[in-house]
Amino acid sequence: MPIQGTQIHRREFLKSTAAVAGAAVVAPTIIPSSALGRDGAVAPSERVVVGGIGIGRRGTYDLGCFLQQNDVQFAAVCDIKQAQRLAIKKIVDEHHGNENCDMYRDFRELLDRQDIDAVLIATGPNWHATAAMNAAKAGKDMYCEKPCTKNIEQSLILKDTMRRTGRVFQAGTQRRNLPHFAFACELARTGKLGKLKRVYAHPAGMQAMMSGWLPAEPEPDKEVVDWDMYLGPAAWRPFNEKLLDGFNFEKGGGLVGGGVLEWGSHCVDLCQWAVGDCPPPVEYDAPKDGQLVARYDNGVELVFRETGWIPLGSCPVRFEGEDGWVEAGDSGKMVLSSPALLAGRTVEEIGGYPATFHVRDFLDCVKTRAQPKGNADAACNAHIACHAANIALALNRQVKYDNDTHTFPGDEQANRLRSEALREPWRL
Amino acid sequence: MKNKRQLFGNLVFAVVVMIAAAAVRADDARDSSPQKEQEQLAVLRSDAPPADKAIACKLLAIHGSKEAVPELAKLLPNEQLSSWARIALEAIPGPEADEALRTAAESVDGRLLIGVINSIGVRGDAGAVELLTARLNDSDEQVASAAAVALGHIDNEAAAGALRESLASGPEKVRSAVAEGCVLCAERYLAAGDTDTAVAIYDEIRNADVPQQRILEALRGAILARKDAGIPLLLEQLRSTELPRFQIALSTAREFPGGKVD
Repeated sequence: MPIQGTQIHRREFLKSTAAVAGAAVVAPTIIPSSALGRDGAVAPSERVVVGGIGIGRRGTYDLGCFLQQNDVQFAAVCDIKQAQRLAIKKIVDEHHGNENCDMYRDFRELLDRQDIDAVLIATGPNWHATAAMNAAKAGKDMYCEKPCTKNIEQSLILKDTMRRTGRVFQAGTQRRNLPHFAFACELARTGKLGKLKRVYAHPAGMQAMMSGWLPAEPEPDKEVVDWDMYLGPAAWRPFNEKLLDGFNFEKGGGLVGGGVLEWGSHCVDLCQWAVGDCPPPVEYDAPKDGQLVARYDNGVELVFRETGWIPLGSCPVRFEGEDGWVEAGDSGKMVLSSPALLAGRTVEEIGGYPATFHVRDFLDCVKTRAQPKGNADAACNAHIACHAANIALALNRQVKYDNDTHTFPGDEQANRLRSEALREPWRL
Repeated sequence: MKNKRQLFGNLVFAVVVMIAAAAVRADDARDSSPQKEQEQLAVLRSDAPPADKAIACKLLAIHGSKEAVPELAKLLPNEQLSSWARIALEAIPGPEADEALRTAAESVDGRLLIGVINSIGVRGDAGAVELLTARLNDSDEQVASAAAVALGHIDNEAAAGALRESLASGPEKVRSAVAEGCVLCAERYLAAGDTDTAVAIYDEIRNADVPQQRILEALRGAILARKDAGIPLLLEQLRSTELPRFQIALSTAREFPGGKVD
């Protein structure tokens, strides 16, 4: 939605007030100069104390981005794998030059700590929504890796929970803070491509699937691998080491998951940004010839397609208007229909990575209480578009989504795929 | 960089293929028919291994009718398959699934009971208010907490009444969950236009002995529900020396409708 003039005024006021008053509220009366931020140190009132939940491959990358920020004090790590707990503690302690990073097997103990302001949630996708909502209810802000939800209902509850609890939520959709993707989205959103006709996302796999069991293997000691905690909200199944790859376990959904959600939570998220973060599409056609076409309420098409991309790296997007188009990918490059769209700049000047911008955006919002780029509303809309597309894939037919009721009117089959029970004792 | 990304992409693809061995193609979700339901019911009634029964439960979430409910209900006391059965029971419309969950709530205990209660809450079963209210005093605080949140999902006065009473006089360890349920009720009252009741509930939470985060949620609700009359309460929080109150005031100010806060 476009920002109204009065809202801009209020937001600007709040941003400046938050930074000043936030510091004033917590500043002690007598403190050393280093603690006040002199001599290059960050004052305690400006530090964000962070804990990590489920820090594996992706999480370690995120952790690096957090540790690059001077105002971050990483205080604790939680992981169901002992080896991972130890590995992350080593990284954090070496960075801070102490032995203070505490380790937990159960994230609820970490959430109980009153000194922790925010958490990095980088578990497997199975856990993201449940951990995020537990964190919010415990009064923590969070940077949560994507896909953030497993189905439509979780997406809606996530959005409502963040609003209700007043917590700052940043989805790990770091491309929202990469300059070249932001530039491309801005071209689309501000009409510089003319009336927008079509936005394209690369789903990297368009096969819906259901997760199942693998043969039982001897379960490790709980201290080494806590299998029960690993399963968490996912329906029970016996231990099998192959399932310990959190990235793929219950990937993208229980009833129906798959590649549309995995990459889509990035690419579709950018498409959503390009269309002004409006509610998700209302129609999703059956897949045909390697692509699936969805339609927004205003007629703009969202096209999931596997092929036909200009080679610009992974996670490409393309936005087409009546007067021009732009395509961008993870290489940091863009191709545009006309050099005039660059308004005198070069693609190199606009620039691409690093992903630290996204972490910085989150930390700034923790302090100002503003909404970060990957906020829960934006993430919710993008995820719903992916889930609805997955349902069209699973049913192999068109489905129609109502953004007012958040249902597929008159379509019981599709509606039954909107949510999935969580394993006991977990709830949202 | 590009080669690295391609390598990573290939690796991911290989892992996905491997995991797919543990997965069931969603093709069976298509072409709903009584025949599909009968096929899965036959699996549940057979000596098939638990893995097959688990997938049958998932498919019954899509194809199951009231006919599937009794077979699914039999799995609710089964530690391995209870959660799979609830996937179907949460999805199957009609009173039969509600009744099955209510019956199970009287016979299972511990974590399985919590799961059953959670499913009752997801379905918003108005017929379960009495059962859940009784569970608010369960000796297992996790069970009692689950009952409180489930009541919060049920859209009627009896559920809200039970929660408000428990907020005032119920067990201390359950009060956070009771407050969570109360906030859900207040939101519904507000959405339905009953501002007075919503404000009353928010204020009760603000004055209750509950964790700070629940107070903050109630503060936000109390400010927004009062509309312009909530501005003094908002300003009070903005002047607070407690950082969490100041922070919730900032985010609430952003949500505040109209221009008076500006």
